[in-house]
Amino acid sequence: MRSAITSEYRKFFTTRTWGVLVAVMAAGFFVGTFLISWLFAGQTSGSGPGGVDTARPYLFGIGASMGYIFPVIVGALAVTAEYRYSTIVPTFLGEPRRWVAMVAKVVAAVPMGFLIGVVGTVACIAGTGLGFIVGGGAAGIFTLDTLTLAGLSVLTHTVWALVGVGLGMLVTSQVGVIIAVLAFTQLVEPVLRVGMSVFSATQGIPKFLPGAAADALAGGHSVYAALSTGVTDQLTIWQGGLVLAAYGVAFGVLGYFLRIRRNVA
Amino acid sequence: MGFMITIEHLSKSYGSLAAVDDLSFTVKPGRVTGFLGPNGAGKTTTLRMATNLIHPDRGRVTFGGQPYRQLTKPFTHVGMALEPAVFHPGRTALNHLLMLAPHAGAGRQRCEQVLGLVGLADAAGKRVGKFSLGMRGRLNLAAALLGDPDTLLLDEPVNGLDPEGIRWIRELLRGLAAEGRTILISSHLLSEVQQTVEAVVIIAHGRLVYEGGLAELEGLAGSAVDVRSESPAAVRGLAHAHGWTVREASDPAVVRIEGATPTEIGQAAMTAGIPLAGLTEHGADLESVFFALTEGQGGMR
Ligand SMILES: Nc1ncnc2c1ncn2[C@@H]1O[C@H](COP(=O)(O)OP(=O)(O)OP(=O)(O)O)[C@@H](O)[C@H]1O
Ligand SMILES: [Mg+2]
Repeated sequence: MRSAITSEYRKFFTTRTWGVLVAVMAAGFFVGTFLISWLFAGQTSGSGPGGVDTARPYLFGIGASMGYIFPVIVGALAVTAEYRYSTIVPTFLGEPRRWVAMVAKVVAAVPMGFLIGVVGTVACIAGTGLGFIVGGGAAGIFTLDTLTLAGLSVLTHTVWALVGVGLGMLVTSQVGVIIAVLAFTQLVEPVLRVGMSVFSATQGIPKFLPGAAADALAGGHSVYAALSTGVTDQLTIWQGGLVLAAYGVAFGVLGYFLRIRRNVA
Repeated sequence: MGFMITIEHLSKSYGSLAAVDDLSFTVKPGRVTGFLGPNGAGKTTTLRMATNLIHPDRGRVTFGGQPYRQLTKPFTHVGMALEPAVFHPGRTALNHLLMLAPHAGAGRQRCEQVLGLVGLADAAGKRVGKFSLGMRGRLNLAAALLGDPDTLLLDEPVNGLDPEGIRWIRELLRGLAAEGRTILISSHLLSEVQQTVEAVVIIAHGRLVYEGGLAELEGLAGSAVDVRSESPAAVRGLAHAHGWTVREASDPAVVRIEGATPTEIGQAAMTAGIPLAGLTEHGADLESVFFALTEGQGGMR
């Protein structure tokens, strides 16, 4: 197991993909949060509705609630890039117990998700803080609340990376996984979350969707939750973490039986 | 000492196509064994089943009695070079080996050492995407050698190598076999490995058609003598009278005879008063034996 984990790290750091992804993510989060907070700071002030203090946690958490596509893709790439370039073959030659090879990918994804989480979270907080300052407000970065949110944001990114590994095992196709993640996170889930919250029969379901669970884990300040007017039905931090992790486990177990055990050529 | 590789009743079908069909043979340590068959005969499928990449429908492959998936740190026991070789194009040669190294119990030094061994020391920092076919083949071999295994399975290792490279790999493999290792190399051309292997396993259509020493295969081939004469008809008559086999030759003045030595033919012609212009002996025509063994059952499917 240890050799498989070491091998995973080396795979990760010897290609340029992850560096590009992390750089794009950091730049995107920073610029995005900077622009939004700048606008906010210019228009309103104080702690009233729509004010800086209300907006701040949402902006700090934008990485965890909207930018999770990055850790998901980095996690998924650990599997799909190997299928894409057939390097899964030497991987399975070196570790013929395929479940061990997969568990090694999951373990290796933890520090990578953490790293991405730190970079993404710092980018969001820095962008937001700078935006408020430039707009003439208070950055408000070093409040206790912020630090808790930042910690939860990093944790959320990490769990998303694990979900990514599971998803990669289930889909195995590089293009497939990117399309699936984009379609689900940017279209299907937001529509479901807002749509289902309208009807009383389905109101209880959206909070169990992966994105909603992640929002709960990240501290509950989700842009989507704020958009679904009136509905504040969310899981607790713990429940959110467990539900999100359960998605990863379910994808991974399904993927193992449906894909990973298959012949490789 | 390398493992004895035992293949027992191995079978694998793709739909109605029997890619490998009840195949059984053994590979002994201490010599290079050629695994031969025309394109599509089932060589790669067999090697992939041996290393747990493809699950056989029936049968099994064992290394010293153990299936591949039960070997601890398999790279230290069995080195496998696949065809086609697989690399991430963005990784350098050294990084490719470093990625595999933990499984082989190898450090950076060993990685550099095997790169030197296959003649890629200068290309260690180069991305594999920029490698030539021959360089990829060499890197593939380096990966197989990384864990210093006693057993080597090499699928088409000669592919893409220049004549000097072929000669180099021949020396290398013979040296490794002399150390007692088990070496199995596949090829679709007997002539490509003829000077490297001592034993051969020939398959066609997924089935075994020959297993044994190269020398015995040469015996099957026999030798032929080209007899040049101004009266080829008389030579043919002479051959028939002695019960020798006559083959067509491209030159009408030449009669190709099998089953007799040049001396026997010369003497018989002198006795019969047939003037001969020349006698040329040909070495065993292995390629035609290979073709005869595999034709009608192998080939592309
Ligand atoms: N995944 C697959 N699906 C369907 N057919 C396959 C598959 N893999 C191999 N085959 C078929 O099985 C047969 C054996 O293929 P294999 O690659 O083992 O031959 P080979 O002896 O290695 O040939 P070559 O000398 O061309 O490398 C071929 O007819 C091939 O088309
Ligand atoms: Mg082949």
